[in-house]
Amino acid sequence: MSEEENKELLVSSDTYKKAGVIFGTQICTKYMREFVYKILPDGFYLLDVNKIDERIRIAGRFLSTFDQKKIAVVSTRIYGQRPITIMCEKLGCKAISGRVIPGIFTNPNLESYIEPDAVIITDTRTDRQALVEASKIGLPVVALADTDNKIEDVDLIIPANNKGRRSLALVYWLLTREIMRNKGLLAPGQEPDFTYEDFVTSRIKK
Amino acid sequence: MSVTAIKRLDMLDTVQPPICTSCGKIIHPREKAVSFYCPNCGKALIWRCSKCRKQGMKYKCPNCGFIGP
Repeated sequence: MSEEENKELLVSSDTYKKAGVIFGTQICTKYMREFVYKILPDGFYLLDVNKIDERIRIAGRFLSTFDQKKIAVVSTRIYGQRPITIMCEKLGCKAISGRVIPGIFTNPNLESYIEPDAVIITDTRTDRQALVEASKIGLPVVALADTDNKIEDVDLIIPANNKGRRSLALVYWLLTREIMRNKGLLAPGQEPDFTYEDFVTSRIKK
Repeated sequence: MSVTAIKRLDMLDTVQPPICTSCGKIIHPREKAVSFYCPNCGKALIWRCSKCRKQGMKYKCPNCGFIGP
């Protein structure tokens, strides 16, 4: 990719590649086919960097229209839990990490009951409970989707690798930065005081 | 108000029911639909019925032409 094209992206395309945001799986659903750039000889699908970048910008613009305290961010995946926790510290939104207790959006008798205005979901398959409950009460859902994800009940897709720890960290860092810029907490072009490395989860030892 | 004016009043004139942006059908008040402003321009209100959400149907913003989800 040329330097002129790189200037338009939020971060350089090399950063996206190093973090593994563009790497998909060997399965591609019909819904995600439009975000695929090419297929490798071993069958892995690669996502289009420009479309990822564009969708992160749009999601940042969309989420900045809501009250920050009324946004719920869900991640059952272990590698997504640190990024969402730090994102919610910076923005003041509600992080739901680990197991999602059934009724968290629908049962007012629960202690953990919350009433968000929008929901961000890390994986539509592992965070199925949150997705179903958000659809029941009519909440707009923004979801990170890999090539093998279905997009039932999702209102805005961010195509990205939602399995890698560096990938999730980069996407959530960019999303946080975009929301802060659109809210006016950061000037356009200004970098935040936290870096992408702060969002990365340390590797889990087996 | 005259009698003729009352007769001309129609349900659709007074109440505008929400219409699904994807399929164009009228959304029932008890349906699990969702409404949000266009993620791209933030001007047009987009309604999606439960069936279109379930099937992952595309929607197009009437203002800016953004195609989602």
